[in-house]
Amino acid sequence: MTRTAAADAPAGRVPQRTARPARRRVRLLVGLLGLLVLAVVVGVLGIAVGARSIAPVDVWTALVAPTGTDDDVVVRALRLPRTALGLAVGAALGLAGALIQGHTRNPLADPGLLGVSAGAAFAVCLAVYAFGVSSVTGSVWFALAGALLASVVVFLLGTSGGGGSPVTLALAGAAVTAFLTALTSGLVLLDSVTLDAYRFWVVGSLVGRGDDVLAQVAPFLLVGLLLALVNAPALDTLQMGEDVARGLGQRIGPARLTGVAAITLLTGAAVAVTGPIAFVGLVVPHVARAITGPAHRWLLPYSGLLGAVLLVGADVVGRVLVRPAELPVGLVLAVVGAPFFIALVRRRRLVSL
Amino acid sequence: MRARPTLSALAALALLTGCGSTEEPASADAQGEAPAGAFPVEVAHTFGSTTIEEQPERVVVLGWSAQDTLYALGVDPVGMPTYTWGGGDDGVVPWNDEHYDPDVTTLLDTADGPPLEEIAALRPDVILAPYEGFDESVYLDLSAIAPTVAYPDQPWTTPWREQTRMIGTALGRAEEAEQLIADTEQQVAGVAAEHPEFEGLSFAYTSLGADALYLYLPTDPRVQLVEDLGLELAPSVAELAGDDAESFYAQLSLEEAPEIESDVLIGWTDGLTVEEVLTSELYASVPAIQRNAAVVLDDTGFAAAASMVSPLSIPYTLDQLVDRLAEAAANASS
Repeated sequence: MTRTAAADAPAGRVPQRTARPARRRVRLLVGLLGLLVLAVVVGVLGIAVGARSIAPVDVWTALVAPTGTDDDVVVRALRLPRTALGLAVGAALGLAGALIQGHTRNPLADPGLLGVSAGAAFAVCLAVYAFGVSSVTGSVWFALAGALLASVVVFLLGTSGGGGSPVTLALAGAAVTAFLTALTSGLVLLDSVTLDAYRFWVVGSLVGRGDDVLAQVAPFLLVGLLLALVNAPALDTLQMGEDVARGLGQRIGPARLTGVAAITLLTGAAVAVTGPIAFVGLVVPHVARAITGPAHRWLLPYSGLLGAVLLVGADVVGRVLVRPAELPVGLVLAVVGAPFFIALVRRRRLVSL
Repeated sequence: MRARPTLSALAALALLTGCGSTEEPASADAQGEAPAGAFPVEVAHTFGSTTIEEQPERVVVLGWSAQDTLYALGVDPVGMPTYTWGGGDDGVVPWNDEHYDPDVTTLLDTADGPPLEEIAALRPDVILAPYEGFDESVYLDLSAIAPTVAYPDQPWTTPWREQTRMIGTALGRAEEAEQLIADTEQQVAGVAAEHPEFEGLSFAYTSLGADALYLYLPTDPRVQLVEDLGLELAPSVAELAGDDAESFYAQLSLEEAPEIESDVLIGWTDGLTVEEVLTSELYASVPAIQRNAAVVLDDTGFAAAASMVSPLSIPYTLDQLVDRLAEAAANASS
């Protein structure tokens, strides 16, 4: 699965690599600003567009001077929280995806690889089955705890015996995921109430999460973001292989630990709220890498912003596609996102890891 | 105990209509037998028509609430679905509790479709599924086990009267089924007469979820029962649901909640508690909820009774719904 860094080098085939460094940096910086603008535009769409037609003027009134009209309620109680949540969760999953693909040097890795999604899913079911907790506000804590626990177990299994290589981590993740998925299936089969709650959660949606849920997970997202950015230089060194990295003075263990902690916090907090929308984490880094190349100090912010744009964009599409009903964002991502990803793969050679 | 007076009334009716016959039809009824000479009978359904040659003794019912008509006619099914939703811990809906006999009736887990082997093992004479939704291949599988009566038209939308009639016909007791319908209608009409304030009030029947809401449409038996109480489905329901006349419900974005304009509203919670619905800023924007003219419920046993309309569930539903609806109606007009 993993290959040596030398065999991986695309040998200057990617156009950006041939550009002179200074000009390249300017271009990437401009691109980043462009993405930031795009994220703002998508955010505005997220607040302005929906099943209910609300004139832009009324949206503005709802934001700055609400008087409790129906329009105000829809904008403030529905669109604002789901858009904010979409931006935060999308960014988190994009970042986590770039991190996990970087750490495992596996282009098919998604943020759920370390058992995080499976842990969250099992905890959500357990919360309903054993403790009767079905509200989103309550199950967020369970999901988060489940994600963290699963990730710790995977890390311990994957690094015990002096390992900690990308392969052992991925294998441990796969094993723990399989085990937890089996347990989840068991719970779901046992109890129809649990099945209902699980179905609601597993599709992946930004709606009905309430405004307080984002506040609940925000600290975890912020810490995860910080760790991710701190991890970027080490990740670049690690791309050359652990031996070379060690030779360059990079301490492997702490770098991996930081990465796993960031992935866990970002993914755990994200899926706890919205359900497993791991697709974002799989696709976004590939798109970002096509623009930035493999350097993580660029790849990470690009992935984060692209993730936010993609998730909120998909959510907006889901609102207008089947009016007066809505499609959950998880479904839109699968239906619209998959063909897009295939087109991307076919259109150009992706930057390999 | 609702079925008892009905049955004695039926026996009396059978006595009247049986005048001149040398047999004693009343005693036959008491044992759950059809009048002599009723068979063979033919029942039409969506996959064609099924002929039942002789009086079935062992009846398996599938789908929603078919066993209710059997119980009301004094027949115990040998197999019926277990109700994971709406049923108690034993999987039996509350209005069947007084009738259900575990020694006679096997509960079938139909979550993944009719369990064919288990049904075959019950050696049924007939399989009755007038309120079901299985496809033709399942119908053929079932028909290989015993003559099977499927649903009449669209899946999961059979009106309760038609369901009752189909079962009555299949058991050779069409007249008793008609009487059962008439008695039930009279009961509903009686409630409507006691509550003249229901007349002409507009209503919406909804399921209130955390990420979507659903409107029940005129084809839904739930809606029809409330209409029988004198209320009228609000025009806003048709406007919001669009032209999807086939379905018995329409899914809506939560953003449409303020548009559900009606005098009163009946709403089942879906993944939320009643408390969460009533305190939600969004659902507070539904006009009827705003006026405190909404019946918001989360008791699944009651939800099942309201959903699985039948001669047995209607009395159960009325018992629980009418007082709350009257309260909502009072708030609607104040």
